[in-house]
Amino acid sequence: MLDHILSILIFFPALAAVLGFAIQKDSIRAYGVAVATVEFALSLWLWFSFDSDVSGMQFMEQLPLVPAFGINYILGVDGISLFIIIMAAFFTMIGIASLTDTKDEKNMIITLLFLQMTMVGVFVALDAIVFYIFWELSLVPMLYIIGAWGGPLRVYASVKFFLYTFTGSLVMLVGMLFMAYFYFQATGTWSFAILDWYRLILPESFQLWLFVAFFIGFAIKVPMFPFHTWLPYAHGQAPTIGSVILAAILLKMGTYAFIRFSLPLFPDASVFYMYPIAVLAIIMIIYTAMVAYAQKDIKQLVAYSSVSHMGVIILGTFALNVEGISGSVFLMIAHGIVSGALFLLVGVIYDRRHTKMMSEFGGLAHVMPRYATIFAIMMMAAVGMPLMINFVGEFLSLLGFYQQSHILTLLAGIAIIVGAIYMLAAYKKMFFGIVTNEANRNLPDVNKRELVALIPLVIITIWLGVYPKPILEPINNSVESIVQLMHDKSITEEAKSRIPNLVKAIEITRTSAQGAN
Amino acid sequence: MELYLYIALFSPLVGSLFAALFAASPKSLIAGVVPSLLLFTSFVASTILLVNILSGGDIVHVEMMTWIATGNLYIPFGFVVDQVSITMMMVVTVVSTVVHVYSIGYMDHDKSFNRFFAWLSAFVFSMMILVMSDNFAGLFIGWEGVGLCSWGLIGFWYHKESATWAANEAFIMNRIADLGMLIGIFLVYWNTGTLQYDEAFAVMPALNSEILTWMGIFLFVGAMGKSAQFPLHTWLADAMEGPTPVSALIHAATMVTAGVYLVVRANPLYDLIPHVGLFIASLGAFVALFAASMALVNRDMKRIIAYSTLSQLGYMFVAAGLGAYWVALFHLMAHAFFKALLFLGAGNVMHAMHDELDPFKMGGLKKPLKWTFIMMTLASVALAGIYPFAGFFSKDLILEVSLIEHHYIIYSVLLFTAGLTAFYSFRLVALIFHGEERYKLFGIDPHEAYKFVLIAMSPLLILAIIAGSFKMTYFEMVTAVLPATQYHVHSVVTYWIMTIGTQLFVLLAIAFAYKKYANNRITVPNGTSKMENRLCYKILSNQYYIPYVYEEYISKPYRELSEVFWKHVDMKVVDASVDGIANIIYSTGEKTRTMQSGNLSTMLKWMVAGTVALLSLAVVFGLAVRYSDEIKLIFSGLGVQ
Amino acid sequence: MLEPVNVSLESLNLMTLAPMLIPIIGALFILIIDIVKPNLDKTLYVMLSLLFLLLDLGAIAESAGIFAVNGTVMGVFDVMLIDGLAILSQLIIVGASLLFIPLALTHSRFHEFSYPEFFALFLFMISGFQFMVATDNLILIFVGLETASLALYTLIAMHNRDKSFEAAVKYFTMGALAAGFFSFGSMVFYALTGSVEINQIASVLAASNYADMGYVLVGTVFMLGSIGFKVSLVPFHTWTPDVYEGASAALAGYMSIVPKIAAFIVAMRFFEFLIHSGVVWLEVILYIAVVVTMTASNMWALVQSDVKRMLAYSSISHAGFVMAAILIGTTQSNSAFFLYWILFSFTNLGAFSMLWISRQKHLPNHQRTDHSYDKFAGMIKKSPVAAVIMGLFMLSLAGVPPFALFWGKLYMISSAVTSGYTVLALIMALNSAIAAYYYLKLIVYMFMKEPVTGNHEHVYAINATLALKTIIGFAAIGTVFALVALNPLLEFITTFVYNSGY
Repeated sequence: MLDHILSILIFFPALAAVLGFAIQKDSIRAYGVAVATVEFALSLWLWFSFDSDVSGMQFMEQLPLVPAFGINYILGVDGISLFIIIMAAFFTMIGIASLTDTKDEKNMIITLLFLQMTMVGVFVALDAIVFYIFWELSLVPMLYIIGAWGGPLRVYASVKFFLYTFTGSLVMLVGMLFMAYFYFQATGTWSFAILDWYRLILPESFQLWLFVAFFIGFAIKVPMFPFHTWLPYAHGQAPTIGSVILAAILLKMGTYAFIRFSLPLFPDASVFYMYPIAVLAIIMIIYTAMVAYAQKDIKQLVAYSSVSHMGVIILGTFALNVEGISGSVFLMIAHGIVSGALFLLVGVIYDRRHTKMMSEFGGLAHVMPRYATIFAIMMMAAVGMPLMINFVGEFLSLLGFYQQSHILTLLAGIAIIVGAIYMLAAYKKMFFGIVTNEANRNLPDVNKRELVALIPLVIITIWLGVYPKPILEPINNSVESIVQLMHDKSITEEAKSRIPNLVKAIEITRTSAQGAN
Repeated sequence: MELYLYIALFSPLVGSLFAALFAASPKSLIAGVVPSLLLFTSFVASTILLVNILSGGDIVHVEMMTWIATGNLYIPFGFVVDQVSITMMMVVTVVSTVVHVYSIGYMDHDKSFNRFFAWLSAFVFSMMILVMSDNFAGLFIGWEGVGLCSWGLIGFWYHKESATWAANEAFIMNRIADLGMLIGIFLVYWNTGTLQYDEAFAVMPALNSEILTWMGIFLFVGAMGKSAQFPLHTWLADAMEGPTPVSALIHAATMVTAGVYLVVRANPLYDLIPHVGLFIASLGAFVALFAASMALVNRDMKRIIAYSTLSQLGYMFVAAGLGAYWVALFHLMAHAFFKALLFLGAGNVMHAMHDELDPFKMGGLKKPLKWTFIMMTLASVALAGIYPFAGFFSKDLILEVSLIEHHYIIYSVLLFTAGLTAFYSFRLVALIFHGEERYKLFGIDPHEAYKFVLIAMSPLLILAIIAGSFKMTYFEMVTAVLPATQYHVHSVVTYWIMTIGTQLFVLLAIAFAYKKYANNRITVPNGTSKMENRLCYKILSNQYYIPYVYEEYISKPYRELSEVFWKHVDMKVVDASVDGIANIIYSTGEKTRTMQSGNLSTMLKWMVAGTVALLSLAVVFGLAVRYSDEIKLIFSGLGVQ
Repeated sequence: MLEPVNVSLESLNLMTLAPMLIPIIGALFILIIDIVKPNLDKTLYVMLSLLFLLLDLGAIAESAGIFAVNGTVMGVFDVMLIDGLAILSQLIIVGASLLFIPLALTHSRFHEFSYPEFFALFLFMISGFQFMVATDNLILIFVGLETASLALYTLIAMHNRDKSFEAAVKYFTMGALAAGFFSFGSMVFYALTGSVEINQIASVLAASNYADMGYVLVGTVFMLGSIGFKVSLVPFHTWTPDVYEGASAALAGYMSIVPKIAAFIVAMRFFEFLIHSGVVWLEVILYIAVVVTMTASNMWALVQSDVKRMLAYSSISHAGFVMAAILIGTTQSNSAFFLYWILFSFTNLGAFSMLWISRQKHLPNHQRTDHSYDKFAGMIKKSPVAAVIMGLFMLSLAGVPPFALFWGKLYMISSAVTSGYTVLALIMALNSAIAAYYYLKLIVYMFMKEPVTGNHEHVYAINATLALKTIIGFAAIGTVFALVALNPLLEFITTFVYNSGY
């Protein structure tokens, strides 16, 4: 069974969803929870049987789809994708479990299960076309979730979300076709297998063009400034569960793809575009944080704040050294957990008051102390408090990029200031002061169902902040192999010098470790 | 010994978690007692460690577990108890134990009693991490941790707008400094390849001085934030919004001294870059004077003490900057004791006066608050640096240092400041405890604090008196790790002239303060008196208008800029352009659909028109056919082949 | 004395005619039955036509076998040309027809199906198309074209509503003009080369090394005009929306596939040799035509308020998309063309059939046209399954993986990439993005809007009988699981196209 665990992880939810149509309305939630739990258990099993010391792909599966055109169903997981998959399973589980009463609950849960299939698929696919299939397919359930359960502007928001990302990924598709064609020219056979592409060394001019093609697809997904404007609408209109999944998992597809495609395929281009992208990332960080500070709607604020954090992830990715990339991968997990939790928390208050305007609240700490506490913890995690999950990622990302540029890192570091500003201001508006609005006078504190979702997130937030090793180690191994690959593949002098050669560096790690011991 | 180390480190955490369990539930005494006991345990453990070190035992250095390890980066949770950190540990545990016990009385009637202790112990834990860590990352953990706790404690009474505002201000200002610190850490890592103190400092002499200078500057920027050095000083005075025990523990004794600790800890670095050291010293001297001047006219008891803290921090930085690290540390210790005492005394007064803070509305409290009166007076004496109190040994030493290092300007500034210090301290004492009982006008009937509170304060009192006598033993101990420079004025004559001169000067200042404020003619100022309308008074009482400037020229523009970014840039430019493209496509469709009239003859016309167009094109081409090569050339640009 | 003309039957190789003759025989047969015993039920005719079409399919399979063995076959005085293109296109034609015919078995009876002539004409039309694709003799192509077109006009008119008559007339008139263009074009080429066989023309022109390019171009222009009309390239497309709207939904779907592929084959035969022999002008013109057709029709489709008209424009855009294959003119692109068209026929027939089964005779008063968008508002609430299936077709048309049409687009764009048409590839990609909007619009209506009127004014499956459901189910399955059949299909097509030298 373990040989096909990845396929099982992908198609089990889909199958369950199909069967779900047959289930009577009132019992669907239990079904959904059960399925999601099984899926989560499977993903944990995957982690358990995952060998952290292997840096390459594990649990590989291969099945020819269109051999005539080099399209194969190839799956595999490494330290980079493993934890995002687990997180996807985890969030679907708690998402369904904590789903507050929505209309057409049945459709919602079935959609969520389909969405889960696509999410897992994206992160285990090792064939560009298979990756693309899941990448695009994931738009459809999200489109439905936003459009059917969303706020007043839901149709505009959902269509914008779909078209914007769809357009971007079509350009990416052209890039992929070029990549495959170059491979065909080089080897005489068609192949879309990423691992095959890794072996292909392209002249720099090609790299530059292809990098751009892929970049457009990824950047819109991330979303990077200036392609980010679909996100506030999507988040602002989406139901809680939608925002949670979107922020926690779907956005990670973009950043993950950068590490899976852009860096190893186009090392020289990555170096070439490092500074422009870093500048974009810094704009994301500062500008978006300021926009977040101007928000009146707490959910919009969280939405913009997640754009700002994605900026740090991008920066870490383009540090092009082990510290930075591991940091950015870790920050993907961290940001998933934290922003997911924040959206859940916003959902809690929205369910009670059916408004997200911060001006409506104030003094909530008096009436909902538990809620206030959990919110405070997650807020502090979001502003990068040490011993909390985000810090490890942000610290590593910035640390990594510092090797490339001092001044840009200094600018990017402003993240920790502006982040604190909007978060604390928002917290002050909502929770501090005296209860002014009668409607808030006696709101119930967080209930069990909500705690089911929130408590685990709090635990993870602190656990991984204090002891990131179990995640960081596998990530580190996989990242090291990618960085080494990039170094070996790169052809320009600058790239060679910018991308560290680990063969000797690894020795140092060991020694320093022993030294500290 | 490791066991004691862990006890000392973690018992505050346990206490905090214990109190946190009760956080949501109504006041229960146990939530205060247990943390206090645990802190006492921590204190005992620290003492044992201290004894161990004094008795020549070797330094305790443990690595608990790996924290972050990726690439070449390896950060453990490592802790070291050496002469420097043990000093800090003693200070922290002593003061915090006292403050905890004190708070049981002080927060007696507060409904969030339990939450208070959760935060307070959490703070102690972070502070312990800060001082005990054996690497910069660990230091940073504690650094942020104390910031977080101080946020929680300044804003403890979160229903007060002013309190929450001050809390956020403190946090954000510290964040600005932390960025500097972070960069400093990055510099250390990429140049030394490690963040462990010992390894890093071992490599540093080999680095070129420019890099070292930057390291020193950025790390010091971090220190400036925590120790509220100019221009990041405004948060400290506002932080007085927090409960008084908090001010005593965090904003006098421990957290604000973290900056000094950092510089002391990084002494191998700062020894290599004396020019940065000089800058630190000069800034310290400036801040000493600057803060003291603001304390002169202030009418808020706690703010006055806060400014005096600021000014004393200035002294410490002078010492540290001039390379007299052990002196800085010594003054840090002594200062912690008497300043905490001063604050706690002020706390008693506030309780008695129902949270009245304006000393002008008090007066003559020495009768009802006898013990508090004695304690605060002695503490002020110590602060003023009168022989044989702690302040004398530590503070005058700094004066000597600056003299011996031939920084006469710094020396004279510090000397003058010493006078000011004495003046404002005793202005406060006089206003509170002497003169006629103005508080009667406000119909208040003050009572002395609980007995156990006073007893709890007594250790600080004793230390404030006798701390000076440890000087030599302390010197012996700490110079095992710090540069052991004895500071002696060579000619005995100069020494005596200096010392006595200083003492006289200070005494004169005290006498002046008494003469001016201890009489019965003092009335509550109402803004009419001549002095209050003086320009200099206005400037001082408005803190040189610095908070105003910050609000007007930094906060407000930031807010407005954010609005602009959102409403105009993000909505009107970025988003609009995206929708614009879509709309252009759509509207093109709208415009051109008229082609589809459904009228047969127009349809036929279109067909013919198309054909004619093609024909004419064909003709054109037919002419141009012989130049087909060039044309090919052009179109190959389009990808046509 | 003249030698007696002596032609051996073997050399005539009449087998090549079989596929075209079978439907003709069928048509006559139906007419005879009607004469012998009038007004029998339509089901009989449906089944009969099905049978004959199956026979036809068999015959084509037969010739496919022959082709597989000994390559291209000429026959009947070398008029018939049975090569890979002919076989593939005939397969598509007959296959699509097989899917179409059962659509006659609706619940509510429609006027046209009560005539046996309808089926007769239908079979005539098919044979006409088969003739078009299975020869490279311009005259025979013309004959086939006319047979098919005239039959088609009548079929449209038989829907028996004002719009249908109007449509038929429009189509007829413009078709006449197109026919004129075609004959004129052929005339020019005959004048130039003294032959009406495309391969002859090609060789003669090549021999003279395109000496009088001007005339060639004039001829090409007229050919382009007529073929452009058939495959509805802008600006020769104007008939399409009106005719589709006039025709019954089923027939419209059929028209969006079969007549076009016939025309495409002719285009392929005729234009590719011109392009390959370096008629840059044609290449440029085609480049422009392709881009304009794709883009403009997409834009018009955006602004439609009636689903059927939207689909009409979208099919124009798809036509432009595959026209690129002829422009590129490599083996991969031609195979991509067939792949695309097969997958497209599944999806598009499915989509139109969905409209067909929801066709109601009396519209609710708020609804202006037969299939306006708001008719489908909130469909998910009333008939979820139908809504989901319709949604699938829309996603497939939009090119969302892994549904059928995505693979067509993928391979087509890839062929553009492979032969260096980078800009074209990007334009194609971006057009799919624009197109996504109007397909999405329908999905939005079906899944995210509340029904316009609460009561049961709207019917979504009134005409659905088992037969229709089967057809739609078939189309749906084909759309969803296209991936499975992809590899064999691709290999089959590629070999056939390759072996017939395209």
